[in-house]
Amino acid sequence: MMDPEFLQERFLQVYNLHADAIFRHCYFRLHDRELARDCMQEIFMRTWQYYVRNYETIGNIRALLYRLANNLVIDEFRKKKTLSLENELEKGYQPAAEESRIHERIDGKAMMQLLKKLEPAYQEVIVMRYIDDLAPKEIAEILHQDPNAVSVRLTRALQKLRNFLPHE
Amino acid sequence: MNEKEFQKLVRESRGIFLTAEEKNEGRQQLLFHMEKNPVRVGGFFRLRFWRVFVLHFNFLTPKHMPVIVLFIAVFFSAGVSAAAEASLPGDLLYPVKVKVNEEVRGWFAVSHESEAKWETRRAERRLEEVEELAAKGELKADVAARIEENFKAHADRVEARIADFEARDDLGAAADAASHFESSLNAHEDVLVRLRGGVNAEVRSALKDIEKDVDVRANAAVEARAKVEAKAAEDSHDARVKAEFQAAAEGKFTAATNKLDEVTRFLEERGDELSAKVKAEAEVKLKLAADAILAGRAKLEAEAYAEARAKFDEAHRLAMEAKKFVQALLELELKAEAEADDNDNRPENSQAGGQGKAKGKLELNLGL
Repeated sequence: MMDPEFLQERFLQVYNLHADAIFRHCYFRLHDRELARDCMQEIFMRTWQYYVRNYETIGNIRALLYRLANNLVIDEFRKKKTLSLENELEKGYQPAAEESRIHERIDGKAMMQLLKKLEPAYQEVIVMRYIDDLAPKEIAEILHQDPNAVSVRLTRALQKLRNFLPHE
Repeated sequence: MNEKEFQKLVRESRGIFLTAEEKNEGRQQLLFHMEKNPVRVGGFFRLRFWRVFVLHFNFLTPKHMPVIVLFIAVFFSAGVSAAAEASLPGDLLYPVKVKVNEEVRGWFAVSHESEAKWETRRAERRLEEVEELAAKGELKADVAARIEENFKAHADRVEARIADFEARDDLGAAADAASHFESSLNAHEDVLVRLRGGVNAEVRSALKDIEKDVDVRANAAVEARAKVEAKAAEDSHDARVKAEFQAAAEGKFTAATNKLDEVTRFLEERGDELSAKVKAEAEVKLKLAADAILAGRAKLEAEAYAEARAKFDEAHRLAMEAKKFVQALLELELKAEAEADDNDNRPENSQAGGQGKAKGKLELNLGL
């Protein structure tokens, strides 16, 4: 076992590097900022517990984080805690700070509305490919799936999206 | 599909971030969680196994060391690595700790800043070894001299790194490295002073040189930091870099506030294990840290960003010193208790090095 302080410091570096991306992933899958933050936090806490036992064998911690994120998001879907975008708009959702308000007013809602129209399996790959900027091979590693199967799913997801985007 | 429209949405979606406040809050929660679920060194069973191994193979001499270390590293690396972390100079696995564990660890430093931090940590580990041996009354002059030599090597590397940052005009990195080194040294200087009062003459003599060295290095770190801060203060008046200094000062404000909160919570949680005196000493540092934050905020408002940053660094340093000081004492006390549990069935130890003589138990007089 390596020096505890080093492991802690290293893991905090992991948090600094990946917190925003993991939060963004949860946000576009759960459509709720506060829920996404809670989810992100839970991911890092669980990853820490895994990390202290397995740091020697973790090859790709980014993949591990996304895998946990995917599992937690699916858990949330099962708990049916995800609010619909319509519900959020009705209750007038209020992000934490002005900066995020500006981003979400202009950007997040449009993409979220689009994603809501897709089935969860298609949402998953679209978010990973286009928002998380993961390559199909990385997505396959995270989801423990065949890379070809992921590519096929991505193609179908994009075909579905085609129907919802305005044409020029 | 309207590809342009989709790409626009994608670009904009990637602009969704946590606010600085949210990210810091998350970091604080994670730190708290990590404190509650700390890393535990090795496994009790594996440590026991290697202690037994050492006891039964104590006929092996230092000349056998390279072969033994290689053999162990190749065939038993996971358990050895774990057990070696607890070893002290003179133990069979100590070369594994210093030559294998620490060297391999150094490979993972991904930046010059993390290299500087790691060398500071290595210097600290040498001081922790001295403290543990002194607390047990087992510190001999020749062992102290060897540890001091290693400590000097690590300290030299930290100082070289600080000078390197300064030469490259990376004043932020220079100030951080100097500040971090200073707080580590100050915390251990306090522990050594405290230990000195409870050890016998032989151990006290063995401690003398290393204490002096720590004091010299701490003063050098103070000077290095002050020099860098003065240079930064001059540079900060340049309009081209003012925004950069402002951002750095604001970042340090958040870091200092977070560190103060973290250490305050730490003291609250461990308060019952500490004497009123130790707790008071730590709290004085935290009060000074809080005052430094207030002073820093005033400088921030006056747009004196370099001075503000220096104040926030001071606050961070004081909070870190308080925590390292308390942690070092608690760690020594814990190790003494573990040792006492192991010795339960052995004959009583003779009075030495501040160890009390209870039936089969070692007691340290650290004023906890």
